[in-house]
Amino acid sequence: MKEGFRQSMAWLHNWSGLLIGWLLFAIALTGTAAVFRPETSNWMRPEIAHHAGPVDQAQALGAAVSYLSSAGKGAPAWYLTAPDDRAAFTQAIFSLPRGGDANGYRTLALDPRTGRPDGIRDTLGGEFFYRFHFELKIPYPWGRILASAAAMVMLVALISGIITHRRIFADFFTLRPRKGQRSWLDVHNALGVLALPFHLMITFTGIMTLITLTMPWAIVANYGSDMARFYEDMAPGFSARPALGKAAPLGDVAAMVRDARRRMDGQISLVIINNPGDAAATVTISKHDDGQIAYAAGRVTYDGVSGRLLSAYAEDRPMRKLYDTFYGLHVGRFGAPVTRWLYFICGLALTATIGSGLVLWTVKRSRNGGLGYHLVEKLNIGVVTGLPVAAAAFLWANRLLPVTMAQRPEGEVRVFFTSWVLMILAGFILPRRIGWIAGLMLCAAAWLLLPPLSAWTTGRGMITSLLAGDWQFFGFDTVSLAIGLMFAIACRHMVRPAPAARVPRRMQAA
Amino acid sequence: MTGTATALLLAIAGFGGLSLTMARHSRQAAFDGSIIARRVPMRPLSWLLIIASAIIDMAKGNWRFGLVEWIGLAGVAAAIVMLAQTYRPRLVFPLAGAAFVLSLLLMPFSS
Repeated sequence: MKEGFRQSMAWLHNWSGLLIGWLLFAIALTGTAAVFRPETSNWMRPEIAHHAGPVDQAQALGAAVSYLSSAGKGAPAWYLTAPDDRAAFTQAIFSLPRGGDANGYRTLALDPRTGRPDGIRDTLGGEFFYRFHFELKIPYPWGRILASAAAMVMLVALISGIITHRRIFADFFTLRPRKGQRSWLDVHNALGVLALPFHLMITFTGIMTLITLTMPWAIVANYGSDMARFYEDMAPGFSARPALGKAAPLGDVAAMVRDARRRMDGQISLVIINNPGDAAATVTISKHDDGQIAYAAGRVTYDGVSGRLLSAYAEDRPMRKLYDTFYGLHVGRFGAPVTRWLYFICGLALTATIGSGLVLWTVKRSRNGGLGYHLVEKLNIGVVTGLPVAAAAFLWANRLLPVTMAQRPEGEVRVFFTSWVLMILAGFILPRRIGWIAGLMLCAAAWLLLPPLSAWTTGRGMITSLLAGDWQFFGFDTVSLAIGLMFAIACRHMVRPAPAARVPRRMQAA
Repeated sequence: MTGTATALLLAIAGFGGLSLTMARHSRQAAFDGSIIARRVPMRPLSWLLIIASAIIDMAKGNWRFGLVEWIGLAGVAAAIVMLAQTYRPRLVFPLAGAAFVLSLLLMPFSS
């Protein structure tokens, strides 16, 4: 192929990175946003009042169940996610014979005190970034397969990148600003190497989360098409009994939650109520994922009517625990808030590594490099500045669309994609330098103005939040300002470029 | 929280010291390593601080959580040293020294 090993690795790094770079940029950016999924969901539902102190999970679930016993009547199951240290509301998902989304499912955010969704604006919240991160808004299973393939190419790009940029360890603390191509390379290397363990971990575990979809052969060999038996073996303790067709009221779910919290020594998360209103109803309560790295660690099932304990399951199969550990490492829902901030920072570093790599590809090549070169250059603008603008537009839409609007969540998503498409078009139309400056300026403005907009539309501004000790709202607005400031600085760099320094020949290889 | 802060400070001291043993950076920092290098082996000492930082972060509670947290902390510490070397090179030695002293002060409270 190419001459030496390093040259072939450089070739692989350049082209694998370029081919999938824009997609990876979007995946990394939304994945980083998904680190604060519950916090984003709270921020996007400002009607749920800030509540100091720990939330009463048992009371919240009890209230939710009493609301659902009329609103969710006739559903085969209710899937509830309890509010916790982070999420301020109970999430309820259930399907009814009529209504709901394309799959017939209805998702509601319920107030933890009243158990009712009244007045809370309908939105996907942080769920949108989380879903887009691995489904890319493409129908099942193709979005997941594409995301998974992108992650695999990412792993190739990472490993070939370590070999290509061989000076990353010798130049560990080196950053030479305002030196044109040299600086882009330094930034790319620094962001890549400082969080390298994170980048490798998140890419590998990301591939692992979708492994049953991309490598199903072991499952097919052992289970054939009997997926029900596979799921039962994979996650025992979720077993539902067939409905008896005999009506019986649901027992005291709040008491079951209290019992489950005692048995599993801590917070609970998912509560699945099968056959509600039937004599064969069951209530399965899962352990919260903050107490251990491994994801689904255990669950208890109660008889829905009598509240009698039917089964208790704690995962202790080594291979399953290993898989759960990979999964848990990827989603990072364990441990202290510090860990989450570090995930967020490292995620931003990964996003910026990809972005700077894309820019580097064009900076390293001559200005008159033909159609391919111009295509890359234009798309870079539309993706690297377009996506942050689209994400901000999504949050703007959350504040500006009428609360009572029909199909509001879809409206917010439409604003996201429309603004992204517009940014890509603008990137193609505007001259390169103007395109970058305008894009960065728009990013800065959109994020810097988000907190004032939020304060104006909801009355929960930064000062109000600070005085109320509402760290989630205050934190969200602060991060928004920080992102805006970062783009403003980048824009200033762009407006006053460094004197184009000639890079010595021997450095260009690195 | 104190444990995390101690670990971060130790990592800053460790990476700061390490950067000063590199020819380019010690020049940048106008750091005359000869005085110290004769009495203390700078490079092994810096690595020792980095390892101590990891141990403290893992010993403060659930070591698995600590390990994951430390990998992120180490990156942040190295980034701080890199930015200091780039924009305020003369402050790298005082920064590393201050971080070390402060981490010693915090250590009794960091279990």
